[in-house]
Amino acid sequence: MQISLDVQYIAELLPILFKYLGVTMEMALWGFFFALILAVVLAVVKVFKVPLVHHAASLFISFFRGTPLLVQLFLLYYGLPHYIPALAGMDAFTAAVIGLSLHFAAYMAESIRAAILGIDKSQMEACLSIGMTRLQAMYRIILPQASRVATPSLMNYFIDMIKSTSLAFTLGVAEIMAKAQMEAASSFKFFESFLAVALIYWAVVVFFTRIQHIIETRLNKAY
Amino acid sequence: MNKQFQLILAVVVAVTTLFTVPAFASQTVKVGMSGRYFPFTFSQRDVLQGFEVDVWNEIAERADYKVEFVTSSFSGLFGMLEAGHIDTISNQVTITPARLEKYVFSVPYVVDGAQIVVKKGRTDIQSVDDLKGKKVGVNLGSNFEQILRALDTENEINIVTYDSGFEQDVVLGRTDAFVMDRVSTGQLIKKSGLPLQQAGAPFQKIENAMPFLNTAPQTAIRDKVNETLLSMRNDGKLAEISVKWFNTDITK
Amino acid sequence: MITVQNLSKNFAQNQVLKDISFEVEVGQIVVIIGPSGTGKSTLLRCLNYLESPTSGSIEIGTAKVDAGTATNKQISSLRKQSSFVFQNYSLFANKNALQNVAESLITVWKEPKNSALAHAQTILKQVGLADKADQYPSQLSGGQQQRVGIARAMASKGEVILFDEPTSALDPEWVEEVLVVMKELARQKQTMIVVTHEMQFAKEAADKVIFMEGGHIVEMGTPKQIFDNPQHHRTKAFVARAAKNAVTSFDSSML
Repeated sequence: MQISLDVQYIAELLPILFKYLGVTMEMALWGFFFALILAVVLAVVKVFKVPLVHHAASLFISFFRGTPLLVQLFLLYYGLPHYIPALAGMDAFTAAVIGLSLHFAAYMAESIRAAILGIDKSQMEACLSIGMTRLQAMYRIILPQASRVATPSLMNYFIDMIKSTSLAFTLGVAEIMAKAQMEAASSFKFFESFLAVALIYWAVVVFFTRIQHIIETRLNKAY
Repeated sequence: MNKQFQLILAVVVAVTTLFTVPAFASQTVKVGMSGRYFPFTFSQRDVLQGFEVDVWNEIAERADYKVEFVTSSFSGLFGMLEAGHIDTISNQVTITPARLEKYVFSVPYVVDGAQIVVKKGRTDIQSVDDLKGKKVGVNLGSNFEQILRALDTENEINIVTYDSGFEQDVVLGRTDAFVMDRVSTGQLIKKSGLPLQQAGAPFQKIENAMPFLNTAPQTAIRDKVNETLLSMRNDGKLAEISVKWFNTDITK
Repeated sequence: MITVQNLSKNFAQNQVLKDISFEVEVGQIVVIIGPSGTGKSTLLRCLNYLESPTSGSIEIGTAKVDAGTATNKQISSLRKQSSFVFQNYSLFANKNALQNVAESLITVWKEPKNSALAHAQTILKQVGLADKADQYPSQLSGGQQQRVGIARAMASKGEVILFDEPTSALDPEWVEEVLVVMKELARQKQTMIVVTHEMQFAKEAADKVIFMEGGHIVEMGTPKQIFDNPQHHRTKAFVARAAKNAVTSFDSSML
């Protein structure tokens, strides 16, 4: 069998796929934004052991860490609308963002929680001693310090999330993976198509890894 | 006219437009397709096209619908239909007893047969009987799996389901044959240039149509689609679209 | 102004504070002395509710808390009546010296940020660190950090400042600058309760000395009574040992 690589085809496909990189990045950025908010809430609830709620938080984290993202996306997009008809109106992009947020929030909550617990407990005592509430202490003193500790692992989750957006093609989101598949199906150049999409993911991840290093260097310099 | 009156008039016009335009606007029908099924529905240079796309653009034109194509992998389309994310699937969905229990179908718009395809030069496979003990690829979620299983009463065929790419596996020898509809196998072999050939005659007549959920609003769309398909058949438009993509009329 | 009644604290089966009662008047400097591990720090931490006492009551200014029935609101108002200077400084690591001092003014007392920072700057000046305002804790020496810690306690508007062995973690060279600041506060009649091993400070600055051992108060009185004329034999032994250590360290520093 003759093995050949159609470089010309890849060169033509790259700009087409590039147009859909926006969709991929939008999913990743929105997903990360909501995941971060939810993760902080979950982490604080768990650290404070808020009655009842922290059990719910633990259950949430256990479920979303304990099941594959693909299964969660399917449940959300194909399953839930049977029971909650209002969700049928939810578009695939929204479903993907929600799914990514919930899934990554569970992981990020654990790393934020670990970062909070890693802050010396005397910091909290110092806050209480000058009359601050525990919530004020969390917001003003503990979380800012914990965020510094957690940033490298959160950045890793962000990079992981960019790659995980590729699963959104299963919901019909027109992102780069879906486009690569469709182009492959009509051109029959499977290797070239998936190589092209791999190159794009790789370039994006390399870019964000750079940014991660810059942020980490900055953080190490501050106080 | 004084300025105040002009302003009031403008507001009145704006408000009436706001309320009346939606009433006159065409109903949007969301049509699911894989976009990965050449030449029925596929994307080339980022343009979604193919037989299904042409058929639906014509239906929309005649029935005054706005059509929105939603692409997803074939296995996901039925989930989207059930969840109400799309109104129908236009992807050569074959009418089967099991599907008739769950969905209402439009009139068939493509009549076809199941076709075995093997690597070029291979002669040992000519019929379904020859598939016994062989590894045979079918599309995940397609009806060829059921057709094969029904014929394979002794359970001797090793049926493998694929989301995409079984033609590559047959070429590479990882899979012995694949089964899909006759029309698209011909196209696939021609277009891809892969060393593949049709093996034997098609073995099962299949009728393809568009499934809808069995609810009042969806059945209403189905009825309108049927009416339109029949008119397209009668005035030759459906055959014309078929000839454009297949050089032959596959619609009857 | 401060009334502590029958205060007890158990850690599991272990009773570390036994029936502690004492009073402090406005402007008094009270020094708590005693061997290590006798509950002095625990007592101080209970006054700030950093530890929850098992029984008894604490009254500071307008706030009163009964151990059995303490509500979050009561605890919060009790904490606002006092502030705390930690052995290991415990400055906010993510805030510079000025922000450390201003934090309670902004967050607890809701002063506008600008005036809070100006206010904090004058307090930093009082502890001699006006020029270190923009330094982060990690950039300050131990003595400087503890002076910021005192400034932070001063800013938080409590009636009383609680000092938990403020010089114990310091290298000897930094001890004096911290004691100078504390003596200045004493001179200004700032009410203070100080747990310390600095006997000289107790003798010079204290209005009242409490000697604790084994989780309870053995004896209390003026520095003169405790150091020159102790009644209880445990007090006598402790004072004698402390005096001997002081002479030794005095001798060695003279050499």
